[in-house]
Amino acid sequence: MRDEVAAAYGGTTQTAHAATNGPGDPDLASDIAPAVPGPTTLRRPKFGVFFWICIGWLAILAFCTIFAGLLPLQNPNNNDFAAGINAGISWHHWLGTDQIDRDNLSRLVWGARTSLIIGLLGTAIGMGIGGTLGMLSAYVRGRFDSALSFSMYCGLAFPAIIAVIAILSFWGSSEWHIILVLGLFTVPLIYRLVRAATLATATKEYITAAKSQGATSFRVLFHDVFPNVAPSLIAYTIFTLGGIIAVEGALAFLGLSVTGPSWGNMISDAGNDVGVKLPFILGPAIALFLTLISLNFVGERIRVHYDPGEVKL
Amino acid sequence: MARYLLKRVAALVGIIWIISVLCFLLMHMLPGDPSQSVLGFSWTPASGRIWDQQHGFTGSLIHQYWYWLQRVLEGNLGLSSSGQTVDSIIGGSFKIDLELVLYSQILSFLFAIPLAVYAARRPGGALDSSATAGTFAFYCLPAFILVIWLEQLLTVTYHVFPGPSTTAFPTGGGFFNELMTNLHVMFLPSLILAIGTTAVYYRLLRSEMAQTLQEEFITVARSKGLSNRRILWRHALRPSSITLLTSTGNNVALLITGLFIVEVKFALPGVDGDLINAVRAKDYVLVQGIALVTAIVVVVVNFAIDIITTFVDPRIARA
Repeated sequence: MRDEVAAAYGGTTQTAHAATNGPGDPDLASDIAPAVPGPTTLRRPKFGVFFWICIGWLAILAFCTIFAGLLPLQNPNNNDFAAGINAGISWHHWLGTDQIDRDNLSRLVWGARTSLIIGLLGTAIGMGIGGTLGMLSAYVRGRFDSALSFSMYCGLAFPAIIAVIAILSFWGSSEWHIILVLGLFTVPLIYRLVRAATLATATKEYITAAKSQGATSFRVLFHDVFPNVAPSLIAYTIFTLGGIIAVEGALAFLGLSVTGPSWGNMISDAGNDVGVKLPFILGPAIALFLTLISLNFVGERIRVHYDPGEVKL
Repeated sequence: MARYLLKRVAALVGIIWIISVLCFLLMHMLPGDPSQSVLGFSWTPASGRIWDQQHGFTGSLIHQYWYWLQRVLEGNLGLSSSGQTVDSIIGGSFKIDLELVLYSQILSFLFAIPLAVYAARRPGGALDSSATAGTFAFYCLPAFILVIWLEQLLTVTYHVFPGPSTTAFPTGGGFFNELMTNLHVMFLPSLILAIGTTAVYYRLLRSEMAQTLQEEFITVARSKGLSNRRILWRHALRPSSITLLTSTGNNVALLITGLFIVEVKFALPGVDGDLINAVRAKDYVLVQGIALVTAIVVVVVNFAIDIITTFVDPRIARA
């Protein structure tokens, strides 16, 4: 599903969705089952070069996000009338200017900041609420679990993207509204994933052993369950981050994103410009593509790395 | 089995009821006044009150919900601010969504199934690695980028497909011509939708197939001397396709609410396009109606897929 908001909403849902397909969910190139049964020892698969390239790209993004204000960039909202609209690459504007004379490079860097901040804070809300409830629910079980699971199921069934569009267009789409709404709508998705992951751990023998030794629930949950669920949590966090960044882009496509520079805004502004020249959406499109590839690949690799059982399939 | 079905139907009714409450609350949560958006310039506090009374917007929230629910159960979703009934608007545009979903899923299967079947034949081989990497790349390319790109490339630069101004359902020219024109117009939007799901289906089916091909009955089939093609398509594909079926259900449900990027870009008069217009026009009743109808469709599709999978694999019902 993607698409966006389809992608978008498509996006969030799709990225997260791909991760929800459970045991059948194929890993990327890594999980290839050997045609001839190989040695049965489980070895943690290596991360590989591409993994570190992806990490490198994410590090660049993080750097841009933190230091955007300190870099020697022009004001991303400043119109340089001397350069003219849709100007090509020049010494003064390394990536040219956009349809209202603003510097593309500077908007790209500030856009990274917008995308990453919305993604990180939205994910924090989703993980904070959905992750905590999912872990508790799977550990406590009983009535609490049934009631919570049913209400989360209703939340999943409700077409989130419709609510997102309605709420953002009636309330206005400030950065905080977007973060809050997207974060809240990922809660049921994350809840379901984390609950399933915790459930698989909470029924293991070492948890029973810990309980029988008289450990308190708090200790079992944080000392025995959490460390074993953590790798999956990290992977889901990364997938969610990618999903929210993609949804923000799709919202921008509908004119429902922030007013400042963001990749989604740059792509949709250029795309809606009459007589658009394709190279002008290249910068933000490539940046977004690389970011989504990096996040999905890194998340997938981390999941495979810490869960070698699944690699064997 | 009967008990399982009964339980599922009860849950379905419960979920639909909760969704109706959510849709109702969603509209009441939004700021503004429906009477104002309908009456426009002729709105005065007095005329607004009369409108509210006529359309059940007075009294407590529970009272209003009850009034609305009664109308909905009669099949009356209310009057949009354009004067048309919400049912007729949704009824008119739903067929576009239906066609987009079906068309894109057929395209998706046409790409994903052969690719996955042949890739699984030699895991780690050239076809497998390149197809896995390729679908992964497409999976990371959001539809709103594809839509701008492909539209520009295939309708503006090269006139392979008609642009957004073309009507989806031309009249005249006989049934066959009309069908071909329609399929031609709808191809590009469907292709863009299909690209995302193809990656998901490919990954699922490839991994299932690779597993199935190591089962003993495949070795038996091989030792009987059956051709590779027959083993792949007749023996291995069917047991591998259950996850694909479940995933298709999820994706269809997601797509129904995920069409608006192509509907907006290609100016297709579907439900998601209606929603965007309704939101822009602050048409509360229409937003509410669309939310309700699509939510119910999503739930029912998922329900149907669940039931179908229990017939394909009856162990699920006993679990």
